[in-house]
Amino acid sequence: MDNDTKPTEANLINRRELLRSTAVASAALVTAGASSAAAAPSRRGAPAILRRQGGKLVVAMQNADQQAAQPLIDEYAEANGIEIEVQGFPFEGLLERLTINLTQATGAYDVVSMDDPWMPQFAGGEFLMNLEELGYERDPDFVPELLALGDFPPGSGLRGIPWVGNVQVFAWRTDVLEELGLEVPQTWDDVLNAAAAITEAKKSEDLYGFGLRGVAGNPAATSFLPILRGHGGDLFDDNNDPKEPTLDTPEAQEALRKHLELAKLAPPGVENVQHADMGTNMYSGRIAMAADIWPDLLLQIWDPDISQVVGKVAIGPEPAQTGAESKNMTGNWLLGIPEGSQNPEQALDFIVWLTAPEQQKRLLLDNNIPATRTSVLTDQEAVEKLPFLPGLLEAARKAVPRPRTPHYNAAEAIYGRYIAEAIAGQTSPEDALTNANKEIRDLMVREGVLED
Amino acid sequence: MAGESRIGTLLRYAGIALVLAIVLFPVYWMINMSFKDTAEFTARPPTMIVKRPTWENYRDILISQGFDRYAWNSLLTALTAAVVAVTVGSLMAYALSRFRLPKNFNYHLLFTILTVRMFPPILSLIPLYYIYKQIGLLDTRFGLGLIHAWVEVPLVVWMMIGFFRDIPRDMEEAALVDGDTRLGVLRKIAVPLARPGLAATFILVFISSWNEFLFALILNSRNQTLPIAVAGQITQFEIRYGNLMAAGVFATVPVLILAFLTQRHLTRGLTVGGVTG
Amino acid sequence: MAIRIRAQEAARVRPVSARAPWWERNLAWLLVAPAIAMFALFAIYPTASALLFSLSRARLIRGSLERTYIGLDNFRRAFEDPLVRQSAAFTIKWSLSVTAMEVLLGLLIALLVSQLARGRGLITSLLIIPIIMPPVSVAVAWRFMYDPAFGIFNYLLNLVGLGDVYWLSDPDVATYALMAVDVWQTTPFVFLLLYAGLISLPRDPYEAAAIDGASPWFTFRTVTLPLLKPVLLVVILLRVIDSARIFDKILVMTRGGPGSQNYSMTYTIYQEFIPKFDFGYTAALSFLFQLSLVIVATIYVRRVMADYSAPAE
Repeated sequence: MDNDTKPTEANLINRRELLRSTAVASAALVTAGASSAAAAPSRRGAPAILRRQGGKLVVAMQNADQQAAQPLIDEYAEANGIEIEVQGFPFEGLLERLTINLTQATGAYDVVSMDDPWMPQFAGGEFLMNLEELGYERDPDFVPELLALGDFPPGSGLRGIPWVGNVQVFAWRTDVLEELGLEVPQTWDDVLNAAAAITEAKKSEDLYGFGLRGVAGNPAATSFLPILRGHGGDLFDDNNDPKEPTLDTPEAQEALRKHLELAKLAPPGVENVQHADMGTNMYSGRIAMAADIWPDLLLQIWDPDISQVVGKVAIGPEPAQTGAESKNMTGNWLLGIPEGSQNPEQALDFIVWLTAPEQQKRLLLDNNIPATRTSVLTDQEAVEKLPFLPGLLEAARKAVPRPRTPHYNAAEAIYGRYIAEAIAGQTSPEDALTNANKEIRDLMVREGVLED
Repeated sequence: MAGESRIGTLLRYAGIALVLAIVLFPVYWMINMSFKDTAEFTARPPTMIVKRPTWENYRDILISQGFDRYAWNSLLTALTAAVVAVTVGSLMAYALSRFRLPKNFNYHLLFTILTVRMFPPILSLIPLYYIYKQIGLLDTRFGLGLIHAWVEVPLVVWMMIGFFRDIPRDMEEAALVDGDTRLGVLRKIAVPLARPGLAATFILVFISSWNEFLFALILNSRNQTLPIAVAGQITQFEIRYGNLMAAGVFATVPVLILAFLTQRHLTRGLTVGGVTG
Repeated sequence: MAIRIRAQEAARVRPVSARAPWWERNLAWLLVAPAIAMFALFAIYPTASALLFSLSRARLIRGSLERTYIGLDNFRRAFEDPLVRQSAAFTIKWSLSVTAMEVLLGLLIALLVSQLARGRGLITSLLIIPIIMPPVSVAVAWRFMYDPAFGIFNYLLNLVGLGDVYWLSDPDVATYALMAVDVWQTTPFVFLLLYAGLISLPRDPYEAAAIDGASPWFTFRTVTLPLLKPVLLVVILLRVIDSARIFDKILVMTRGGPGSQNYSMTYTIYQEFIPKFDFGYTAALSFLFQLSLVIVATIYVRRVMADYSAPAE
């Protein structure tokens, strides 16, 4: 863990003190902004202190999110008479760029959008400002499990506000299960049995029982994690303070054995299936069940222009073996303010505005960005248009983030590769897990988390 | 070649037609896909000729995402890279092909330059980021062009030495006797005679800069270039196939025009006629 | 034959007169100065700092990089890492295979085009389209063409009665399917350089060969190949070095899959950088990678192109 690292440069400390003194002034402004949904126009009469500082915001996010959010961002910029420069990056480019800029406190960005597994690194290292110290007040309308993603280490204060509410869900074809007289699976044993029955009966029609991703790294890891957790296993001993990897347990062995059987019941070529292929396979009617479906795919599955299965798919929480808890993985994007930002008050005001109910609803309905607020996920107009929202909310309430360590990405790269190797038949499942566990342990020792 | 048979000619053109078909089929397929909507992408069987052609993909990248801006950035960057690399590289190549430097420096310089191409770029990113920040080249197209040029200098040097070595020395000798300076000889004889090599390396450096990703991502986020924008069509969740194909086609056209303009230098030039080997 | 004739004919270079201006006398150094300056700016500091990293455990802390000296631990780890061994073997196989195919095809096409009477400009422009296209778009397009369910290749195979092929997921096929994309995209690079080389060749030896009534094959072997050899050898060297750094196609098309079968060295190195941010190990692996290439290139240059660095006589 890096959070005992002390700021080494005097100017950083000075800036922090400066921020604290301005926090009081900004607190009043910000809470005023948060309370009114249409905050932008009311900013007009902002005091001079904000005006003088509020010339410009520089924002970094994913290109795709930028494209979706740009109209709203322009609107905010115009209403507040400021300039907002948005820099869009591809996923890995954003991580690379943020790592350099946030850790080095370059001051290049005022607002950054981050994937939730990055939070332990960026928030835990205190590379992000504590928004509550800046005057932000928690809004109970956010799905609590999602808002908690911005609070790392838990209880230390919010350093990110979720604005893209991605949660992994279990999806199944109601018509296929019904036709074959199958119940909706509750446990992973049920899933395996149903998948076998479907593949057996429907293979000739190019319909398979289950779909998963077999590409090394994040894809294979993300498809395996719900099965691992659904067997009562997990990657680490403690999700909030992960130290010892736990992939060499009987639960993990059992989960991987079942995972490999499911891979055999999936459409051939599973070794090179990635996220987008999961969507294609689901909406073109090639797979009947999948545990690795995300909101962006749901939007495709419910899109009559491309989908052949509109109205035939239901979603819900991940299956779990008897005695194990159902856990749905999060993949939220959060907005935060890097240390070194020259304009934190305006940045916070912008974040509050963009995550307000009205903007969240517009992002959902016009730009397909899944909301993080209960009020939006239960909004009547939204539910009518997107009937899967209640299922998404139900899954969100069971949401559990990926293990919260700055080293999660590294650990994921390791076990995601071994899972893929097991699927491709390169290595036996036992060796895969033993080796993955050992390599992750070595990693944690190297990083000083574990004693050798 | 004199007196070749009709059949020989025919065979050659048939051969080149086959090569072109293989080379261009994937290109055709990308163009074909660039006009498809999402639904048609997963049509089975795949449609050989797009059934419901749409401009949507082009509209999205050009109007919604402003790819023309990225293309402009790429153009300026790549021109900088090509001009700098070809100039710096061929000067060095000429020196090494004409002069014997002390202590076997010819070999050492040539080899040292080559090692630049062997280094995985990932590692130099962070040091370069700081250097660029210090000297004010960060987030500038010129700075990015410079680093792109640098990566390609080895290609230029190594290729151009071959071309310069092939230039008959007697022509240069004659010019020197006539009172020309060395620099004059380089300008009036060596450069024109090495024109096909210069043109080929110019195109290749230009293309390499046009398509370079890693440096462009880290060193120039203010004036993003096309490869970054293209890669942005693959998000964490989504692969925007139509956009990627349209972007591929769009990014190809300017360079194709440039290549077509440059290729007239890819001819025998002065070597036809007068020069004897 | 031709080279020897020209060498004999070549006149000795007169030494530059002492009265010439200083820049004329030091012209050689002036001409290499810009390249040396760039080298100083772009190579020395980054390389030195990378060397430091490779001997350290490095992590980003606020405001700077914290480095702890750990000696040769990173290198020791590299030699014990089975993934490093595996990706090194893959990279060697990859680099040699694609270089061989690309040089062979590129040479054939260059010969073919150089013998055409008309349309060479247009054909050259068309042939180089693959290298122009953005690598990411190309990789995605091929991934889609290879798609077992929606791709064009399997559709065509099924039309002629051959079954489905799992191009990018079948361990027996995937490497070759990836190589095919590289050959498709990079052969034009080889073609362009060899073509430029071919058309710069002097005419006389060909005319002499034609007068002697030599067969095309004989002319190719005794005239074209020796004359083209310098360019050809450089192209091979460049392709070996460049193809060893294969990265983007593998990243986009299979992320090294199926399993980790197609992890190239640079892909493995990249993984240590993103998402692992292990700068020390990244640096050590990069050094080993570069060192291997330097050794290969040294042997190659010493053995095969010993006189290349010497000025022409």
